[in-house]
Amino acid sequence: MTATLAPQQLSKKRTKNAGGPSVTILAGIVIISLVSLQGVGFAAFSTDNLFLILNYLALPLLIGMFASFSLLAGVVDLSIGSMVGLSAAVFAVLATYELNLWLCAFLAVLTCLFFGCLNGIAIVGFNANPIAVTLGMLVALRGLARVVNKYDNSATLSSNDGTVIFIDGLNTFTEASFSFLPWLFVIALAFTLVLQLIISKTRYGRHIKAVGGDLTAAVRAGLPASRIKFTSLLISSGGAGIAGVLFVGKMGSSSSTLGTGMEFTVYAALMIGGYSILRGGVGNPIGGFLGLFVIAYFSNYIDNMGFDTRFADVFLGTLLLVIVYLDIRRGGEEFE
Amino acid sequence: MSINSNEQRRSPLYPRRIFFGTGDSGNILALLILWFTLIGASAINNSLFLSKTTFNAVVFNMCILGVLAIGQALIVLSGGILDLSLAVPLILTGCLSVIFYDRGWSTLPLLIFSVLISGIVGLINAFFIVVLKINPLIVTLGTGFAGGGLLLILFDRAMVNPESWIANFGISYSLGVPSAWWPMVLFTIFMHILIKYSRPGRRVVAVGGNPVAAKVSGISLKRYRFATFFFASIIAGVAGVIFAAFTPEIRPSSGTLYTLPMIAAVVLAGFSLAGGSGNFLALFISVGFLSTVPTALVFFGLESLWEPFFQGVILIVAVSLDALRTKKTVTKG
Repeated sequence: MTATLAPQQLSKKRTKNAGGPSVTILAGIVIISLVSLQGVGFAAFSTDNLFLILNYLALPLLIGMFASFSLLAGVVDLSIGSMVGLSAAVFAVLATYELNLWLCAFLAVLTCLFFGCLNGIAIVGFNANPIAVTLGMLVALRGLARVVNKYDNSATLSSNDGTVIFIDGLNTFTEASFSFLPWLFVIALAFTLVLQLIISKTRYGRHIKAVGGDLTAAVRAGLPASRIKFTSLLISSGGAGIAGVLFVGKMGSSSSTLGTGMEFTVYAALMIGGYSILRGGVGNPIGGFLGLFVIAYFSNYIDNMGFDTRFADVFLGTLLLVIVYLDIRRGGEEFE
Repeated sequence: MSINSNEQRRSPLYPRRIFFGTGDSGNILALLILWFTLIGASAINNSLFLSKTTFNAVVFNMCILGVLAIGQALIVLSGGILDLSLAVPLILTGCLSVIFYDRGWSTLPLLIFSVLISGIVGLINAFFIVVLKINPLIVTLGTGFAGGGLLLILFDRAMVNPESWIANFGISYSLGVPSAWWPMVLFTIFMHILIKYSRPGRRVVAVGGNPVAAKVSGISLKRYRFATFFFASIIAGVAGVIFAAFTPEIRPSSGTLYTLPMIAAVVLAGFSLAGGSGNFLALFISVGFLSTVPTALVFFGLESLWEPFFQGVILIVAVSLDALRTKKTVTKG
């Protein structure tokens, strides 16, 4: 008896993903372009503005692409936001003790992998509900990040002031750009394209989709379902760890609020792009990228218009419901 | 014996034995042992733990969490998975009761209106779930997020008048314990009797345990979804009034602090996230245990900074143990 969330016996329609989410994404891009054109004018399409959007987009894209492994395998990992925060905290605090930076980064990512491993043991080993487990992990790691941040040693370093620990090499790397394309974004985009190939062309990609799409069938076909789920959780936590280190490079410090709510933004974007947090096996990386693009464009619009950022929460929450409703309309799983 | 029947209850091969409660006694006993172990360990570590101050701290912690957990448990029991938006009715009622008080409303209409208005949140959730057929988890994630944003826009903060009866309620005592403790006790007893012995209560369990069978036997799933989400919001609204009684300055963002502890309480109490099984007396004890943890942490010399970490760990352990138990009985059966 697996811990299925929705009573699937009740859904009448067969689950399929015909046509993909292209209509939703296209509609999203058209709407947000028109709204920006009306509000901001042609400046909304300038390369300067595009740079801002892509710069904002790069790290969430990287996190989202790593996390998409676990979505595809049907085990949603809600703890990625906290893992970003924890990794940043571990990296920044270790860096203030003047350790080798590569070692700091390695330890930060290793910490995240350790907690990803615990997620995997609870979800795959004990067969616990992924949402409940990773929700617990979300809160636990947010708390842990706050504890780690307290051991910040930067006050004793003469070369720095306060908690700011700009690391020159890392900062140059994360802020470097080629005309209006930030390098970090180029890397994330290249990773997205590689991932697209892995998911659609390789055996491993098809195995993940099979395990997420129909677990029973995948097990009967002899796929190592437990191992695939476990590694997908490790991949998503490792990705969050790497992103946490890069965030410190970008911002020069870690804070206890870093990564808060990031899981929500990333998953909302991936769901616009055709992924589902309740059933695995659907969605593709390029769709996910476009979904993130819509959300990034929207927050850019809110910034440009000088709106209260609190409206973004209201909008995102509403958008999530609309997207899932559209997903149901095109054959997604109905509740009862 | 009791452990045996508990295992039978969880196995799909045996009829669920929810109404006669024999299986739950083992669960309640285990929770009581857990709670007393925590109290015992803290008392051995520092004998000052067993004091009136600790007792009051634990009881105050229980007041809000306990009522919220009852609302959450109703959702879980009825197969609504989880309601992640309960912080919205909590804060909404808290703010509204303060605003209505400042406008000079008398006690009874104030309570009724502020609590009923928060019920709207539940009706909105139920609309998305029943009519648009979106999974409750996503619906309440979305409404919780959007609602939280709206609350921030509508009420920046609400200051509770320290002279008001609301604030007085928070510091008053009746029968030796804080008055605010009694709503939780009354709700627990009421829900226990309602779920065990009344027809609507048994139908809630039936809807949660096996929706298909419930539908076939003529129970309207839609009506029960609307009812459970509405009442869960109402109960969270009552918690909001208690929240206002304790909090001199209500900030909309403070409500989300309760989301995880209330889920932890429900899961720890042995409510199955798949729906259809759980016991409200066990919930009372698990709320007591979770409310003791923060105070015990302080006595063990850990800062309150560690509190979320332990809350998360307790939830993960509870969910894992619950799943492990279910898995074992199924493979045996």
